[in-house]
Amino acid sequence: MAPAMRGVLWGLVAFFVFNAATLAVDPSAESPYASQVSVTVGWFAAMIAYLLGIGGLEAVARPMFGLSDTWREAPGWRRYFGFSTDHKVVGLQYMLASAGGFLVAGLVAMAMRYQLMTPYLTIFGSTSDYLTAVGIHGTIMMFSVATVFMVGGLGNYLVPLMIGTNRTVFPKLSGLSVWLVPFGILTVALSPLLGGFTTGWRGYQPLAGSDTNGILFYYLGIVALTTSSFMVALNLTTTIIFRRAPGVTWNRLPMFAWGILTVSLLNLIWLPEIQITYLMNLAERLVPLNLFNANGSPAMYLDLFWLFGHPEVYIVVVPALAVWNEILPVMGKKSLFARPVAVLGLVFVMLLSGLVWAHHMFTNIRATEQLPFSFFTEMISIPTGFAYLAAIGTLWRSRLQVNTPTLLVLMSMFNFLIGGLTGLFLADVPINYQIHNTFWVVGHFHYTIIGGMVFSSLAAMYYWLPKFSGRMFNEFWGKFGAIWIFIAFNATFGNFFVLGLRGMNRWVPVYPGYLVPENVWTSIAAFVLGAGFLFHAAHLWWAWYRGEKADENPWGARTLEWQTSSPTPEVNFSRPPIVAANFYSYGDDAPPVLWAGDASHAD
Amino acid sequence: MALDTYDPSEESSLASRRGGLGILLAAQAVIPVVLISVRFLLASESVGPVNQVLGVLAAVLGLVAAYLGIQARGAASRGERAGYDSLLGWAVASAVLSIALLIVQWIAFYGTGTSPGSPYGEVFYVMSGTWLMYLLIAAFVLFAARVRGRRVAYGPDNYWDVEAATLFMSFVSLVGVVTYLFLYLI
Repeated sequence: MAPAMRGVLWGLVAFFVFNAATLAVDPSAESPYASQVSVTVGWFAAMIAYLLGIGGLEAVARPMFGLSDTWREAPGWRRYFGFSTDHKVVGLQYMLASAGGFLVAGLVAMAMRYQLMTPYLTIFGSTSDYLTAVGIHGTIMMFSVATVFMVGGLGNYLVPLMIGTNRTVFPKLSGLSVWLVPFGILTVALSPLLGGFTTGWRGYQPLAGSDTNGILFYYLGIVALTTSSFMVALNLTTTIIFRRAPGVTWNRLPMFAWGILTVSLLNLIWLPEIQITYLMNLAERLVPLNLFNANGSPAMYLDLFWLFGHPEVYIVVVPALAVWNEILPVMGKKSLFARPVAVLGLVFVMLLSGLVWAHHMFTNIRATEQLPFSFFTEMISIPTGFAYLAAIGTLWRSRLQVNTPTLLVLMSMFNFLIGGLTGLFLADVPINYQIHNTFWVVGHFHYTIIGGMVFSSLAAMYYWLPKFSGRMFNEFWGKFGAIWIFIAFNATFGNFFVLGLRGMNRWVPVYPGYLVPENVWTSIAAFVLGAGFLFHAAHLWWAWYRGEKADENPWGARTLEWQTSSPTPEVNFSRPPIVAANFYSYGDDAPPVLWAGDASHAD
Repeated sequence: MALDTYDPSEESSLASRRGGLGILLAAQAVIPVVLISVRFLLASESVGPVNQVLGVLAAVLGLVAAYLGIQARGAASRGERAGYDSLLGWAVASAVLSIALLIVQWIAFYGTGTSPGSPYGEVFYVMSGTWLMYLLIAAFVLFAARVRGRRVAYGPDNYWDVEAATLFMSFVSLVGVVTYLFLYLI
């Protein structure tokens, strides 16, 4: 039996057994089939059994107790359906799981936009059902796509290659953690079975206290997804610190590795914070306690959530900023401008990101508390601007090759600029009061996250496709798809600003009739955007298997991942690469990256 | 930078594992910090009807488990099989006893009639519950290190499992002390 199938089967059996056993002794059971406690116990048992079934039993549990490691990875494509210690397999597993989350949450978004074409309820039976859809969309997008695709997917695949090592420090950790992503996505997506939840991705209290039991699957799903991201952050941070090849000094560390390192540090700080917050929420629900309800402190929950929630935005975006400065010097064949400033920008964004959280709570806090958060929020645009500075300086007078990855990077820069500028309005307290909780806010964060991170992820997929698959995409169709989603994206989310200024509130499926025409156009643009993303997925899939054979280093890049054959061989480097020069120096006088006596190319 | 960072020797591999575990424990320190903040935000400086003796004993037993683990690590690094087996056994026993004392404290606290939903009640159960969860994990990894040691003899080149379990237990013992200070005294 395939390990994935075995994991699912063991997980299901464990859930039913532990749910039934807990139910038998739970005096608070509100139904003969399940209670809050029994579902929670069953879920934890299912998670452990599922991870053991995936391959954790043979590869982790047995060796932990001194028994031999009997795990054997399946050959060929089947290795992607089980536990693996190969960082390249794990990276692709993360990308696929994350893309699955994007599909699920994207389809939910399409349903939401269909609903919003009319000012009364149509496909959703109640406002609670609509809010559950909003919550599932936001939770899956944030915790399994935005946080995961670049760090878990691209990070696991590329960082070891970029720093010149053959494996990560804790390969078994990432081998297991990736399987928590589909588990977490399914948990959140199945929350309607327990009644759904109306709080959105933020789990706001005291609203969550009056929700049905669906909120349990929201908490538990996030525990699984954040645990996965935490494990990745731990592994990649340790790997970057301890496994760099000779000559990959901090001054030479590739930009993307810097991006992954900074967000991993953010993950290591803020994910435990949000996890203990969600575990407290869970305890509040099960015991019950009064931590965050009207008898406790709902404002404390807001603080605890946004302490994580705003750094989360930078966890999502910082790797995207790094990708820009990874791709542009290569495509422009020009040395990266002001590299130390670009690195400092990433680091200072990381440092400042923990000082801005209360700008999400301007309507809840005193005027004296608003000023510092308004100040720091506006200040964080300065180190963010460093990434732009480096990118624009690199573009200046370069011989830019405007191909699909470049085009997507330029689009991402434009979108993120709009996201950043509209964020400045929100950082300003008087304006924030006027547009708080309107579609302006929704437009702003979609411009930063989709416009910044998703466009950059697509750019990265096209840029590194020859490395992943050994094949090249079709340039015409790549550009066609890029222009398609750029127009559809701006038509959709640009309209959100107009809707917000005209009084369209978030979280409502029923709205005044005068907003119908604007909503109809926005929904049509959203459907076109959704189709555009499917087009890119289909194109990349086709190129992966049917595209032209690519050269080993089709872009003439200098970073280490391009110094091995493409697609990447089983063993990344047959001999240690010894780095002797900067990765981003281009021009006729640029010294070779590898030490002259080195022959690190794998056969 | 030496070549061994590329193809790690056992020594550099051990250094990277130690570094990784250190990063893990530093990240986990965020959790007690959050809980201490919650404790003061919800219950101010009030201390409920807790049994100080039980609290002290639970914290001290955690420290004892960590100390025994450190001794076991030393014995494992010297390949003294009987020594590390016995010391790990006592470390597990100390951790389990600490767990038992916390459970007794829960029962005793509940018996005082303090509601779990009262401000001090909820911070008591949340903070001590987190301490309990860490102790359970630490007892488990110490136990696993002992069982493994009976099958795979530890020696000068192979004692990472004992060291990792011990470092984790040391972290948990500090969590216990901090929890005791902020929950029972301050």
